[in-house]
Order: sequence, then structure tokens, then C-alpha cells
Amino acid sequence: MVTGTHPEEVDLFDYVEGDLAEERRGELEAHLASCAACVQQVALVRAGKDALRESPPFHLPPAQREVISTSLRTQRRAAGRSVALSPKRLLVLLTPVAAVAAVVVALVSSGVFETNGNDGGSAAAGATSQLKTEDQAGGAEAAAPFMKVAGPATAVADELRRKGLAARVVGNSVEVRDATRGEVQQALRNRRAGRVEVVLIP
Amino acid sequence: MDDPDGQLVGRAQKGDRWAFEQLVDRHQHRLFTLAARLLGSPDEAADAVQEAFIRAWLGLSSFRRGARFSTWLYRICLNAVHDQRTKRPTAPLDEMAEPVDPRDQFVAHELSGALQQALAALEEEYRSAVVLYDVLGCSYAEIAELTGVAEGTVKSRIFRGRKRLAELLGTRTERE
Repeated sequence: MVTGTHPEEVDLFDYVEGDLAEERRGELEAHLASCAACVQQVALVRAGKDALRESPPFHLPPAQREVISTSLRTQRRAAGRSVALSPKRLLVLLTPVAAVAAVVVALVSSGVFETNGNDGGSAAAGATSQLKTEDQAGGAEAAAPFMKVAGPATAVADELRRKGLAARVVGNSVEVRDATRGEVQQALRNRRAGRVEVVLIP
Repeated sequence: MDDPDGQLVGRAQKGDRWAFEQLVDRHQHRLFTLAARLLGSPDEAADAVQEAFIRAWLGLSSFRRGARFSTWLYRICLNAVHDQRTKRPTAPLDEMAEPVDPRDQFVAHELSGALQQALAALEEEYRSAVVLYDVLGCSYAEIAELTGVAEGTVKSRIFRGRKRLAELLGTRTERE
């Protein structure tokens, strides 16, 4: 417990944390009563602790949260494989998909539209042998929007939730889980066409 | 050990991305705090957090049930932080773009403060120990698992890290 005439630092640490057994704490306090060096150490450790614990937590910016969702939505785990992909590499992978999506959006000029969930899936083919886009993987999670309605997105999600559907906002899209197209169309039948994309997540 | 994330992890391991999104919602801010305090840059921290969640999603099949998901996620984040540090640009931080989100500005302000400068001056092993323990509230056992050392060593690192930090903050205060 004691190195030379001073307590070990782990004992001093436990003392600062209030984790020292009563008997040992009494011994240590007796030592502190006559050791300015150890008193100084304890004071510094407490000051460092206070400075750290008073530091505020940070919040990931919402835009970054959306980037994570987009990243997750556009890839799929290979069975039994563990694959890491850097954000920059992901961007390279996503660029052709985004380009195709932009063309599709440009072609479907306005209003409510329907499109096949597999459209654009081949654009990323061959980017990596270990990853598949979700469209390539057979449309298990159809990332393509099938409706575009008037927003804002939060109001669309609220309306869907009020009608019993599981919906959440991701950027300017609303993801709806475990629902059919018919159910979503019925729920949003009174909403005009607009810019908020509605995406089905099986 | 009951893992509060257990149910969601089980669903996510079966391919339920919605469940994984909820795990991201739960852990995003703590991971960002960890990365920002270790890297000292909001932009680098955001990149590291994104990388960590992608790696976690892609590698979810390797997560062992019975372990704690948050500890596994922190381990991945620490690796992403390490990788981020190794590919740092040569341009000085003050030449990088100013953040526009008000909360970004808050983070940027905090990361330019005395505490962050003192943290940056600590040896890596001390910085990780104090951030994990005092900022994130991890247990000794968790930190020992994350850093691959005994719990006694964890305590020693926190002790020395706090002490050095206080010395650095004190020195700075005396100079001002």
C-alpha cells in the first residue's frame, strides 16, 4: 500500500474517488496531515477531475447525422463478412448512384410518381466485391422514393404517425417502415404533390 | 450482463437497418464527444464518427452477444479516431472552413478553449483514459477492455492524466 513514506498513487486515486476502505482512508488522512507533497497531488487530481467533469457534452450536427443515415441506407452487409469503408471511399462509391438518381428525378418532372425500387442499382456494380448496394441485393430495402408530396418533411412524418404508421424524417425524405405503398398513399391522399420524398423500408 | 442495447442489436444483426438507426440515435452524441475531445477538431470528429458507425454496421456480425454493444462501439470509434489522426492534412486548422451550424460553433469554441489545449498536450494514453472516465463516464473495467490494460493501470492513467491536466491549466492561468 505504501511506497517508501508516501501512499501509492492508486491509493490516492481511490481516496479522491471515495472508494477507499474506511480503515485505509484513516491511515491515508493521517499521512496527508503531515505531507504537503501528497496534499498537493490530491488537490491537482481533484482540480483535473473538476475541469473534465464540468466540460459540456457535444452534439453531432444534424447534417452529419443525415450523412450517416445516407451511408447506411446505400450499403448492405455482406453475409458473414466484416468490411470497413472510409467516408471518402463511400463518396466515390455513391457518386454514380447519386448521378443516376439525379437523372431519374429530372425525368420525372413533378407530382406523385412511382418507380421501380431496383432502378439505378446497377450503377454501383463492381465497385467492390465485398459490398452490395441495397438495390443490387434484391431490393431488400428499397431506398428509392415512390412518392413526392408537399412538406415540410416533419409534417408528413407526423401525419403518417397519426395514422398508425412508423415514420421518421431523414433529411428531406420520410422513411416509412413496415407499410405497403397502398397504405402510405391512402394515409397521404389529401396531401398535394411536392418535394418531400417518401421511402418505404420493409 | 444485461445490455440495454441488446434487443436492437439482435434485430440489427438480422439486417434491420431501422434498429441500427436507433442505435445510432442513442450513441451518436457520446461518440462525437469522445472523438472531438480526442481529435480536437469537429470536422475530423464527425468523419471519425461516420466511419465508426459504417464499420459497426458492416461488422455487426462479428459482435459477440453477451458483450456490451457500447463498449464494442467505443472500440471501433477509438480505432477510427486513430486512423483519422494518421491521415491528418498538413494545412493548419485555422485554414479550414468555418462551421456554420450554431452547435458546430459551440463545439469549435469549446475545442479552442484551455481545457482542450491541455488535453491535447497530454500523452495519448492519459488523454484517452481521462476522456473515457471523466467525460464519458465509462467504468474502469470498460476502459481496461478498451485499452487492453489492467484496471490498476487505468486508475493510474486517470490519476496522472488529471494531475497533468490541472498543472497545464494552472500554468496557463498563471501566464494569462
